[in-house]
Amino acid sequence: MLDELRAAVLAGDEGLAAAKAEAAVENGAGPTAVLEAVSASIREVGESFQRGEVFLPEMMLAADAMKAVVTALGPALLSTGEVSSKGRVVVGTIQHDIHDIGKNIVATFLQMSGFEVHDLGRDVSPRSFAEKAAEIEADIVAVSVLLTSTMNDVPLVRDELKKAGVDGRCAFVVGGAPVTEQWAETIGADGTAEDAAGAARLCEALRS
Amino acid sequence: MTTPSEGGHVPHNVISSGAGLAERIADFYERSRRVQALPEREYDSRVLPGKLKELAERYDIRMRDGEMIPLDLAMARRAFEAGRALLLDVGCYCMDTEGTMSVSADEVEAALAAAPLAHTYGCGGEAVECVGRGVEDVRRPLVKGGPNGCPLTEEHFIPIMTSVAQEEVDGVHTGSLQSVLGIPNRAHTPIEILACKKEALWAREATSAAGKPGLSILGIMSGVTSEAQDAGDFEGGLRPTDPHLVVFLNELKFDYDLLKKVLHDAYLGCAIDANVGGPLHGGYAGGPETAAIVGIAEALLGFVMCRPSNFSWYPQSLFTGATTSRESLWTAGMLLLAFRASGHEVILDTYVGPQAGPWTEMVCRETAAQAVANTACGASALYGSCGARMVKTDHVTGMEARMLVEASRAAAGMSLADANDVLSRLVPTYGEALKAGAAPSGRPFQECYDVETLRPQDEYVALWEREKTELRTLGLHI
Repeated sequence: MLDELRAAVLAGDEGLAAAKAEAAVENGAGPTAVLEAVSASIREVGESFQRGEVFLPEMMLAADAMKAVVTALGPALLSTGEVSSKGRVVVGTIQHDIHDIGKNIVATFLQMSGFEVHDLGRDVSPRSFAEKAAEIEADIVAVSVLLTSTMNDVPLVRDELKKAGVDGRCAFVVGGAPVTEQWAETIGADGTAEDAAGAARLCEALRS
Repeated sequence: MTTPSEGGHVPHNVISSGAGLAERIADFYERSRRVQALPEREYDSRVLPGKLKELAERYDIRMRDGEMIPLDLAMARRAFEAGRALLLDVGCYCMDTEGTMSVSADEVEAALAAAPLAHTYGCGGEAVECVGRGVEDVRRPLVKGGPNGCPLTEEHFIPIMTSVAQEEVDGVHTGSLQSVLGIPNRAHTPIEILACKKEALWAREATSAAGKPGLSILGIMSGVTSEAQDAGDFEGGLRPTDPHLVVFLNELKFDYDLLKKVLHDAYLGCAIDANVGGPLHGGYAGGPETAAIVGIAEALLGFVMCRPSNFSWYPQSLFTGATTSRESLWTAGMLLLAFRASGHEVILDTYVGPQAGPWTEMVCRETAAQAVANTACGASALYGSCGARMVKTDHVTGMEARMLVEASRAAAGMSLADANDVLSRLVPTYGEALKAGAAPSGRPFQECYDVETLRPQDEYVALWEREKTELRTLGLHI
């Protein structure tokens, strides 16, 4: 049963993955064990992506399948008291920037790493980041940027987080092709990473 | 300079050849309001990749062992049909109305029939005619040298562009200004408009400083909106004979900003360089074969929607951030060969974007490799070369343009098989570093050049000369 579940996750079949997960629990498998099986498959997909063996669509579908499993197992998982989200992350591409492939990869890696991801999409205003962070009591706000002419709007997110009163309890991380560690430090970000896997590690470190 | 094609030259004037342009753009707009609604994530992760896999299988498109560039012209013809089928079956995605819009076979045929086989860029003594080169064509492709849109400081903008213009280039490609008058460039502000105006003005100053006032300038790169990019058109800025970049989004997507820019450029009679920042190997486009299929569809869409003077691809890899991996070279080769083998000698260009930066052995090799690959496969013009993944400020110089000119000149007339042989020896010399993301980012312009005389440092020139010797041992007669 767990093999079928893993196969459904690898195939990115949300409906089948959720059904197999529910069936596994009904047949006596512990919800934590089921989730661990799915997590192992997801890690496999992420590693294959980093080796260039699978591509972004497959990874997005696998992440969606994992999300479907977590939703399906929600009550059972909560009853164990063993499993909790690694944290809530608001992600998005900064306003006036319509490039979102990098952001989508980071969101997928975060999702696969066990974070609850709230993806605001592209062209997101600093205020929208802050409002969402306040609404969901986010642990981290992750801002993506590709263009140098939109980079200068990224620090405004921190300003809005302060205005919304969530700056102290919500980390602020940035990433994207033109972002350097030095720049991230300059604007008062809590960190940056060179790639999506690094972004997931950074967020895990910030939550540890 | 590339010689004009003999016969078959279709003089291109956007206004005259674009009769009905207003009606066409209005029609696209109206159709975009009646799209088949589809969440973008569904389009990106299921609809497009699913169709691409189906088409790659149906048309039997495969990157074969030992191929650095495709060698099978029959497969290239099938790839063209696959790309055409993709566009007709899926259509294109409108980001403003969030759905797919259909494109008809008649529109594709009409657009290809209207596409110029030659176009003159620049003016005066620097006017050059760009032609739709064939496979293994003995004529070298044009080189539009320069930053390819990479970030430039205002301090070094003119010196960098001058260093490029003084090389044997046929045009220059501008970069993106980070600030103006010390004020950081910010999208949707007056400074963005000013940056676009200064970009055009200073690029013109640079070509004049190099003694080539008529040299064509490809831009505008300092603004994200069509309004800002259009601000580059003024007396002293871009001219109608300069290629105006109009960019589609990955993959097979457009937005209203694109339609607005096409209208603006066409009504001014400007040359339009329709472009996609892809296809992106590893992204929604998938592997090298499916990336080629969607890239072909994107070019066809570009000809349909923009009626451009040319189409350009930036066939990069998500994994390397560069255009020079084996997979990206193969994809670019297939993009070009698909059109050429199918009898379409339209103007098709490619961006050259190495992972390594200036004053490194690797940037020499990556640049030479792509020059060989794209020249043999029939590129009309090559842009750059601009290394360091195109993201490091001021990491571009005229020397990389020199490499592109000399390597593409040496590769002109090479057979596909000979080019593949050279690439089979050349690409492995940098392939592992590329894959590991370990390419050196090199040095900024001000270290590579004497900023007073605008001459490259002797050691950098000597490095390129040594690399040319190495390239000769690998079989390139440079």
